[in-house]
Amino acid sequence: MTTPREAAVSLERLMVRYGHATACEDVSLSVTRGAVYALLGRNGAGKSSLVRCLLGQQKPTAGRAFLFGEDVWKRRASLMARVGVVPEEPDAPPAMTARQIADFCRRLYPSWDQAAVNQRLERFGVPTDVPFGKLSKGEKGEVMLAVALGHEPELLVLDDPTLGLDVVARKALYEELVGELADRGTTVLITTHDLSGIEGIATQIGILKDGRLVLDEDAETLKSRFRRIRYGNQMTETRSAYGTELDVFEAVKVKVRGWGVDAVVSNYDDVSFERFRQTDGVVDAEIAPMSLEEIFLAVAGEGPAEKAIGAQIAKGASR
Amino acid sequence: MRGFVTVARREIAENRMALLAALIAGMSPIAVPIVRNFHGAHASEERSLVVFFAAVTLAAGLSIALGFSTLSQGISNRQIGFFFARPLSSLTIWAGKLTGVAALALAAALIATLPTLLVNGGNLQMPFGWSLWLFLALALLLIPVSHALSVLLRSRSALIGADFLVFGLAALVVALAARPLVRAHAVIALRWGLIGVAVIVWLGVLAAGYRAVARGRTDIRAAHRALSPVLWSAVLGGALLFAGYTAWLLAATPADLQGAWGTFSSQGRYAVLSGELRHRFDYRPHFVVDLRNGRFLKIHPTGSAFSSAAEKMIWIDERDGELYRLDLASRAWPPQPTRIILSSRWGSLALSPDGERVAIVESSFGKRSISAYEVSTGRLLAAASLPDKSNGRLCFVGQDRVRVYAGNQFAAPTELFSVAIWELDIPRRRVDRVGELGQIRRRTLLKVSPAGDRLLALDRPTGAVTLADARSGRPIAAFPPASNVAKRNARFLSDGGFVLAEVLGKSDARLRLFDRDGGEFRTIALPNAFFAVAGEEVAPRRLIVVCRDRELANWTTQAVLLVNLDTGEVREVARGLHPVGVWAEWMGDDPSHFSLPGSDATKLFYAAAGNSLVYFDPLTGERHAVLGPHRP
Amino acid sequence: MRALHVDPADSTPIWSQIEEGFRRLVASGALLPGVVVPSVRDLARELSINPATVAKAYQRLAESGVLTVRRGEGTYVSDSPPAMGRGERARVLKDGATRYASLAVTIGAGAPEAAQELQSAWKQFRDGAKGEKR
Repeated sequence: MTTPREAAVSLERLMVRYGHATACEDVSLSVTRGAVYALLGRNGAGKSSLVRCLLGQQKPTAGRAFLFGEDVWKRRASLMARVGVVPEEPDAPPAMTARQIADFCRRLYPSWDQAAVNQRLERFGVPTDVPFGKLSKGEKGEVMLAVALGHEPELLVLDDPTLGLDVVARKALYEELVGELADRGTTVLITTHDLSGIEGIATQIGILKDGRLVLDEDAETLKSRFRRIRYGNQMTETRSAYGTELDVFEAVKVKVRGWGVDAVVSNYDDVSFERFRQTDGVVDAEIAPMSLEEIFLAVAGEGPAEKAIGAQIAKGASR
Repeated sequence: MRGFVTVARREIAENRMALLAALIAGMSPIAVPIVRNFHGAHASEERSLVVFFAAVTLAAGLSIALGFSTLSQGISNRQIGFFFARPLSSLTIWAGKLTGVAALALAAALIATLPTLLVNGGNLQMPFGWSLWLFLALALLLIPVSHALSVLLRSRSALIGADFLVFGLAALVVALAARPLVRAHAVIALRWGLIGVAVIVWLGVLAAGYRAVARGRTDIRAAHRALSPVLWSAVLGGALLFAGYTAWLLAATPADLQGAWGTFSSQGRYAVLSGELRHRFDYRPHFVVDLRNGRFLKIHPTGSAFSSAAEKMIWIDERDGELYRLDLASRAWPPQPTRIILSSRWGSLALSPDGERVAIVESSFGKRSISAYEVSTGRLLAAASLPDKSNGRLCFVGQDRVRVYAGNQFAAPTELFSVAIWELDIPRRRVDRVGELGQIRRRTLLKVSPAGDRLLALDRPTGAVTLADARSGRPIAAFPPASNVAKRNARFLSDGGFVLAEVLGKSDARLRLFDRDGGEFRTIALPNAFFAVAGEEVAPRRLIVVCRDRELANWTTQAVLLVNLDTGEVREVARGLHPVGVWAEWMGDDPSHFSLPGSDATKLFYAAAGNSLVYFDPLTGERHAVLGPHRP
Repeated sequence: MRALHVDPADSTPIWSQIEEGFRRLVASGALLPGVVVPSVRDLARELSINPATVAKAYQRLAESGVLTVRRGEGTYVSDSPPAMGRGERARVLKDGATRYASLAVTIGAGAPEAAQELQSAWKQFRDGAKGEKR
């Protein structure tokens, strides 16, 4: 855990409550500089509230949010000079054209690269003299991104930037993002549903479930400890039931099928698997790696049955 | 600063359609006179009138509409995040947007006046001489108010119930505090107080609106929660300050009087005084004052009377028309209601010498009546209708009889008429016409001698004086206007005789002494006076006379002379003083009022210097201020 | 680089996949010595992966001599196979072998089968390289 001084983003026990409804609770996370943090969660899991608190746009009910070590609620105006924001709903005034938006922002930042902004807009193919309200969803997002990057921010916050974008627009967005990472090592916090798209780019993964951060981990480590294990069980009467043989792997989700057991485990290692394979009664054991999407579904999937498992996963993450 | 300008410019650009509307609105003042077929100056005036209202309405309308939408709508439709994601402080965002709206509203109003300005040739006559700029400024003041209101309404929070509760409470406090001022007709004082409250509340609204933006940011409910406490403080604070202001206003004492005037008891110890109060604007209550020890009571009379022999007084309360009495000699001074209610708040009244009986002439439904009551119990002793539809001047003759000199209030100022003399006999409960006095004008002063048997009628404009029998009105002696007499006034002396003060030409004056039957026996010359009025006797046979010896002099430099009626010696004793009795005579009309010679009443003067009331004994030279800033 | 495929879902780290990919391409002769390889930025953009990941792979490849970085000019495939000490070579081989072995074990393949595959892959590279050199 990096100290707030070093982290680009640091949330300390953040809680957001609206009346009786809790949007997020006891969320603590840290985004190191240069990292790409992907915050995943189902709709209504509390991502938007969290992002608003993180940007100093809303005061959390409890806890604090820091950017570059400074309390963002108190120092929002000065901190925003170092942050680029691409909101979930593009919020530029509908009557302004892209040119006017860029002109508006140009006056607000000490450093502004208008040429780069123009280049980006051209690359995206966005018309610069059409009122913002008349642009397509994708074009709007592209304008917001171009403008967000115009002042060369140290931190880029994107709230579900690919929502409603087609494949081409999505690819353009990721290209732009990667280019930014390569050129400036920008820290990125991105909330998204496009898990496959972000998979290669994210260095840190956080999963928000029912307002709680159930997983907060380095991407590579996460991928390495999750596996899907399929096998047949001859220890019991039927091939399909399972007993304690999976315990060592800390199974997250176990499905019993006609041919055998299909388990998602969160604590995999090769040695244990070899031992597992040798276990009496285990037949046809095979493993398969899991994509980020599959991990997310397993962790943040449906309902109360998985609540207890969330605690287990969090335990596993502290290795 | 850059951010502020950028935000303001954006706000203007966002709503620039308003300017177009302004230009169109600016056409209406041109069209109206054409439609109504006015020409020339009339049309110009009409245009000015229409453009004034158009410009002010436009500014106010835009202020309200844009003030309502500018920040709060952005929160509702989630577009305000665009600003909060930029390096703009909450202050910049709030101030920039509101200023943008203000600039736009002002520009729109001014654009609307342009066509009229051109057509009128650069001349805009504002109705009633009102200033267009003032009204535009007032219109712009609505912007923060509209913004605060929009936060209250858009948040859809239950907190608005508490907001209205606070507003209601504050309004209640203000209304209750304002009530005494309204009853006292202190309009200017009330106005300034309300302006003060409005300023405080407006400042509070401004601060509250800022706090809503700074603390609420993208959350409209948090904005409301941040706004309300500031608003409540300002509203309640303003209301409480107003209440304090009115309390301070009402707590005025006679010591605050600047330039008091009023009526005095016959001994001169008590007075009913009123006048301008220091720093209290137009709040002018009356005070009953004990001049000896400064004890006072605030009253709201439409008429009052002292008893001549006892230390008692009564007055009619202007608020409910009830008669109140006060025992001036008592240790405490609680005003005591008598349960005698006048049918209207005005009426002539007289108090018997012992203060136990009061006679009132009232008119209701065109009929006049005279009633006599026992003051301490409120019991009606006698009542009768007065056939004459006329004002009555009352005086008690002893305890049992009340004489009414019925005048004619509807006469023209120069019209001569006869005054009927009526007498109410209280024990016998009847009113009889006992006499008639002729050759009376509306402004004729009537004085009854101390014994009550003789009457002097003094016609102020012409200087005609008539001595008559007080009961029958039969003339005893007459002094018609003379060509060499410029002015004349008269006064009874304590021995029953009377004195005439006559001004002859520009700088010659004299006193003529008469006995009770009108026989002249002495003339005393007064030096260099173009104005001379006989005052009262500071001692038996020692008369005060006030003189002015220059054409344009006024009472601030007039001379006070002491005249020895026996020896004819005339001596100047003071300057810049005016006897209270002479003043009361000019202002009031109590025929029987007579100050006892040598009493304090004869030694009270209004002093020009410092607007104060002074006690001055010309015989001993003793002088001290009784009221006013130079009080000892 | 069309031939280079990265599967983020794969259990091997992406930098490792890139590293392996390059090694394979160089070994098979698809990437000839002296040929310039895409910059970190360009490759990252093309594959939609974090440039730091690419940078890490490139660094490892440079350290092991497969790629050469010339300042100001770019990154190239090395002219000759990297000069390595015996100890280092042994270590690198052992690393690779361990990885291969664990892979084989986890899919349930036996040692003979694994060895056979290894041989045929080796032959493929050899032939390919020979073909290119001709």
